[in-house]
Formats: sequence, structure tokens, C-alpha cells
Amino acid sequence: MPNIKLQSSDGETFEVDVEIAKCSVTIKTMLEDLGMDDEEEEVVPLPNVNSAILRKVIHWATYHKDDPPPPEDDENKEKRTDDISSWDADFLKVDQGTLFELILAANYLDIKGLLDVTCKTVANMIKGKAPEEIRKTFNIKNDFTASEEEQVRKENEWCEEK
Amino acid sequence: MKEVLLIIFQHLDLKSINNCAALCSTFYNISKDGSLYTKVSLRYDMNIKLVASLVERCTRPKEVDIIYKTSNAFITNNSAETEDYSEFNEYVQILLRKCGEHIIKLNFESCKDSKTLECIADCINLKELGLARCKGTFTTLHLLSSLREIKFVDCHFPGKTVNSLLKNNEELKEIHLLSNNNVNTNEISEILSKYNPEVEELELGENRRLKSRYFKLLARLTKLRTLEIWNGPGCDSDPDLDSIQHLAAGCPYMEKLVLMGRKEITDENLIPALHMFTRLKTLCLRGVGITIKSCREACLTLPLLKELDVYKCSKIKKAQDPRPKSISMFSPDLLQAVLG
Repeated sequence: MPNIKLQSSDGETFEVDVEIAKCSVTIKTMLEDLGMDDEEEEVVPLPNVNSAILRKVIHWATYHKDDPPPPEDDENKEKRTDDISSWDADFLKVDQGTLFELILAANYLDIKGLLDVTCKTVANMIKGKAPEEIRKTFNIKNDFTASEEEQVRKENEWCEEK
Repeated sequence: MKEVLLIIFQHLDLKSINNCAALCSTFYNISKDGSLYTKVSLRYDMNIKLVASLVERCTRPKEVDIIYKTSNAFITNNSAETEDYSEFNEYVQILLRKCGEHIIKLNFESCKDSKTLECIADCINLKELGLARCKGTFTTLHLLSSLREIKFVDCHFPGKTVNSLLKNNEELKEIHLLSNNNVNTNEISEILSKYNPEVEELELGENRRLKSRYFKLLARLTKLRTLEIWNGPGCDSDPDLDSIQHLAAGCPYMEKLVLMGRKEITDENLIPALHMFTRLKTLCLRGVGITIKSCREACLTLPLLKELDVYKCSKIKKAQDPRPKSISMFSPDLLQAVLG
């Protein structure tokens, strides 16, 4: 199988099977649009992904290389978050910074499966938590003015019942 | 960043979304995004402020459930008739008028307000409509024209409402009509046979008996895969003995056939029909005039048959009925074993 070279933002090059690299729609279209030939020793620069994250992304893509293509986005489908495979769950046992960088990389590289599973992982960290717990978990700064805060509180009044 | 946050929010339930909205202005703005509210359920027992806020945030809903009473409450609490639904009704009307064109799937449970039910016509692209325990004048229902699936249960329609709805929705694939008022199954069969050639699944459980000469018309629905007719026993004064054979000849794709109390079905007309129903998986003929001979024939000629139910067929004697007492369905294997 032909390989291609991917270069991370910090200059490290990774040699990857083309088929695995193509799970990234961004890379796939790049290869198609530029007509990059498999024989040429071309390097694909990925200025938005550092080597630590790119290594993880390649690890994920290699494990999932034989997965069936993800279904078309179906808004009617029930959004579930309890269907993360145990391999993915283990793979995503990382610190929050890495998790968010993975999300951004999956978004930039357009890898639907990885984006989905990372976003679900974050959603699971939010679900069932009180606002202040969420604030602590993700270190979110309150940037509301006093009057805005009052407005938000009013709008969400129904939420505090029960 | 915003698009990623939106994806995360799409995996959250309503309560979590609101918890996040209270944290910072970025989250607050994302919580208002219409794409988070494509599937909405408005319930009378919700806080009315929540109903209002949902209606406001909804811009492109695809699936909408509107529930006035749960079916349990409906049965046990009759005094609820006096409840004041006016404010809730108003929000439902606002929602349907504002963004009805986006709704693909709509369910109403126990709505008795004609004006609200009339807003269903604003959902011009509706494909699936469910009405349960609703009552109204339904003067606009026939305006819908892109329906694929309908399920009406225990509703009170003015006469001919369903008739004109069927006529105007020639693409209907799935139809369930159960215990509604003012639905004449004989007329329904006649209309279906003329206007609705795409029907694949049909369930009729209305009170009025479907006469065999109208039953016969269903043979024109050549794409039928499932046919269930639940109306109880009773006899035609002038039964059409060939109706089941006509059905078999007209509907080669039939996989599930459920018929109740059709005494005109006997070994003489069923056995030739069985040879044409080659795809049948489920055959349920309760209270019909067949004997054990038909059962044997069904097991021998239908390669895909998984379930055969011949409960209450008076010509099948208890001793011959191989059905285990506690199970109403039995497998052909078991039957063959019993018959030798």
C-alpha cells in the first residue's frame, strides 16, 4: 500500500498509509484537488495540528481503518452519547487539553467518527452536572453583566424547578 | 470553535443546554441556535415558560410531538376536561404557524381544540402524521398532500375527513386506522384501491365490519407487505368467496397477513391462495372457516412462514389445535411435529 507523509505544525513528519490518511476528508480532498501522485515524495503540511495530537489521530484512524463509512448526518436520529466503544473510551482517557485539541483537530481534518466520539465524551462530562460544577470542570469564566445574568436567570427559571 | 461547541451541544439534553447557557455569553448564544431544537416535544404538563422558550428557540423543527395528556391520564382522570388549555394551545399554534413548513413528523396526543388542530395544515411538507385521541372539526386536514405515513387512533373525525385525506395523498405508504369515529372501512377500501397504489402497510381496526366485496378491492394495492384487519366477527349477508384468492393474486409481496372473523375464508379458497402468497412470514387467521388441512398446507407451501395463528377457528377442533395453551403463536416446525 502506498504511503504519504504528513507534517505536523512543529515539523515532525509521519508516514501513513494513504487509505488511512483519507479518513480525513480534508486530506482526501487535498490529494484529489492537487492531483498528488502516489509516487511523488510529496509532504502534506498540517499547520493546525501538532505532533502529539497528530500521532493520536493517526493511532485512532489506524484502529478504525476498516470501519464502515459513517452514516450521513441524520438530524432525526436520536442523539445518543452512551454508545462509545470501550476502545474509544480508553483512547480518550486523556487530559482535558488533549481532548479539546483532538476535537479541534478532528474538526479541521474533517474526521466525522473522531469528532463525534470526542464531542460525545465532552457532552457526557456536562450531562447531569449543576451549572457551577460545569463551570469548575471546564474553568469557564462568567462574562455576563449583572443585568444580563438576571435576564438569563429569568429565562431559565423553569429549569430550577423540581 | 463555535461550530465545535454546537456539535457538543447537539449531544446534550434540554436541561444540560440550559445549565450551560447560564455560564457565559458564548454558551448562552449557542443555546439559542435553532439546530439544537430539531426534535421537540411540547407537553401540557411542562412549565408554560419552558413551552414558551422552546417555541421561541425552534426555527427549523423536524419532529414535533404535542401532548395534552398522556394516555394513562386520559383514562383515569375525566375531570381534566375542565382544564384550561388556552395558553398551551396558543403556543402550539404559534409554533406550527411559524415553522410548520419544516416539520416532517408530527404527533398530537389528546388534543380537543379544533383551532389548534387546524394549524396542522401549516405543515405543508409533513410526511408522518399521528393523531391519538383527538377531536375536532379538522376542516383543513385534507389540505395536506405529501404524507407518507398516518396513524390515527381513537379520534373523532367528522364524516369523510379521512376519505378526502387519503384521496389527496397518493404517495401514502403506511396507514393505520384504529377505533376512530366516523371512519367507514368499506369506503376507505374503495378509496385506497383507486387513489393510493403505493401503500405497503395497512392496518384497519375500525368498528364497522369490512365487507368481503370491499375487502376484495384491496387486491389492487399491489405493493402491500403487511395487511391487518382487526374488526371482529360477524357475517356478510352475501360474502364474496373468492376475496382471499384475489388478494393473493394481487399482492405478491405480502409478508404479514392478519385477518379476524372472516368466515368466508375456507380451505377451498385459502389453499389455492397460499400457493400465491409465497413471501408470507406471518399468517394470523382468527375465527375463520378453515380446518387443520389449511394449517398443514400453509406449513408445507410457505417457505418463509414463521408464525401461524388459527385461534378461534371453530372447524379446528381443540384436539387438533396443536397450539400450546399459553402461546397463541406456534411455529410451523412444532405444527409439523404434531401432525407427523
